[in-house]
Amino acid sequence: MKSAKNPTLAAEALYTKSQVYIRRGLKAQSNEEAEEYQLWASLALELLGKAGLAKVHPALIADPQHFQSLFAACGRELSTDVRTITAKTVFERLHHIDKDFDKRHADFCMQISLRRNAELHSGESPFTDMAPEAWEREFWGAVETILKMQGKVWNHGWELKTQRHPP
Amino acid sequence: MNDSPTLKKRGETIQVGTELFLRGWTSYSFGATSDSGLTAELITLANQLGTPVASRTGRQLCDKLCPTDAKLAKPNSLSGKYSLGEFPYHSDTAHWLIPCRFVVLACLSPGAANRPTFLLDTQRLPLDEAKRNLLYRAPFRIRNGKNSFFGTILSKSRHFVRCDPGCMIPIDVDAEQALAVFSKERWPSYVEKIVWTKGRVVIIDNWRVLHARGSAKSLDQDRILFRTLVE
Repeated sequence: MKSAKNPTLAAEALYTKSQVYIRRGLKAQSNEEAEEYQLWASLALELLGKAGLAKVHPALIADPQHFQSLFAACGRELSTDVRTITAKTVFERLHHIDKDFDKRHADFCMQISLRRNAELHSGESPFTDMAPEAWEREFWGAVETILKMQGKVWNHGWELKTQRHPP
Repeated sequence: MNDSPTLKKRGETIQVGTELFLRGWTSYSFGATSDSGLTAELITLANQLGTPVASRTGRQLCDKLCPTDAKLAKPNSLSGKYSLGEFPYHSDTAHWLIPCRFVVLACLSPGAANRPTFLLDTQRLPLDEAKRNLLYRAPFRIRNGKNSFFGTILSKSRHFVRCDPGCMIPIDVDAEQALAVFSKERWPSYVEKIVWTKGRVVIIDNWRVLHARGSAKSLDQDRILFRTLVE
C-alpha cells in the first residue's frame, strides 16, 4: 500500500478520527441526546468508510476531478488543497472491497449521510423525533462490516460500544 | 546502510550497521570536533543512511540544539513545554504523518552539567497484552498547525512508534494512560544512558527507540548537540 503524505487521505488518521467521533456519539447516547448521537455516528461512519478505502490505496478517496488530490494520494503534494470523494461514492465503492458490504448497507449509509447533510447544510432538523432504535441496528451492522474489511474486530478501537452492540 | 567512506576509514561500517539493526541505536566517536567538521560529518553520515531532511521548512539540514528557556522557545516545542528541565521519552518528528527514520546526533559540547540523553528501545520492552492494546487503540490529536491529524502510538498498518507528549494531545483517559506506558519511571532496567563527550556521534532508529534529555543540576546552555534527521 502506498502511504499518503497528507492526513486528509491517510487511513490511520481517518480511522482514528472516526473512533474519536463515535466516542462523542456514544457519550451523547449515554446522555440521552439522540440527535447528537446520530449526528456523530453519521460523521464517524463516512470517515470509517474512507479509512477502509484508503487502506487499499489513498487514491480511492481522492477527488478524481482534482488532479492535485490524485497526486497527493500518490505521495506527491502539489497543493495543500486536497479533496476527497463524496459520501455516496464512498459507500458505492466499499462493496468492491468486500461483497459483505451489500446494497442494503450502502442504502442505509446513504440515508444517514443525507440526513447528516440536511442537518449540517439546511434549515431542516432531520434527526428530530427519530429514535435510536430506528437506525442503530443497521448502523452497527454497517460498521461491523467496514471494520472487518480493515482487518479490525469489535474489541479493537471501537470497543467502547461493544458491551451493547452489535445487536 | 550504504558503504560509508567516513566510517570505513575507521573500520566501523559493519559494526555501526549491525548495532543499529540489533539494538536500534549505535554510537562512535568522531575525530573532528569543530563546528563545521561535525556538521559535515553528520550530513555525510545522513546521506549514507537515507535522505537528510530539515526539521522545519526553510531550516538547514543540521539543527543546533541547546537547552532553551521556554520564554525563548517555540510554543509547541518540547523546550516550550519543559523549558530547561528534562524531556519525556519521545520520537522526533512525531507530528509528521511518517516520522523521520533516523536521528543522528553529534556533540560539540557536553555542557557544564554533563546532562545525559536516555534511550528506550520499545521493541525490547515486555509489554503485556493490555498495554499493547492501549498503545494500538488510544486516540490522540497530533498537533501540527493546519496539518494536524488524529493517530495512535502504534498501528498494525505501520512499523513505527509515534510518541511525543509535546505534540500528541490525549483525547481521553485511555490516551493519557497510553502515554504513561513510556514514562521515565516505568522501565529503569531497559534504559540506555548516553554520556556526551565532545565529538561523540549517536545514531538512533527513530521508528523504534525513544529518546529523552536528562535533567541538569546547574544551568548548561553551553550543552550543544547537532542533529540531522534522515528519511
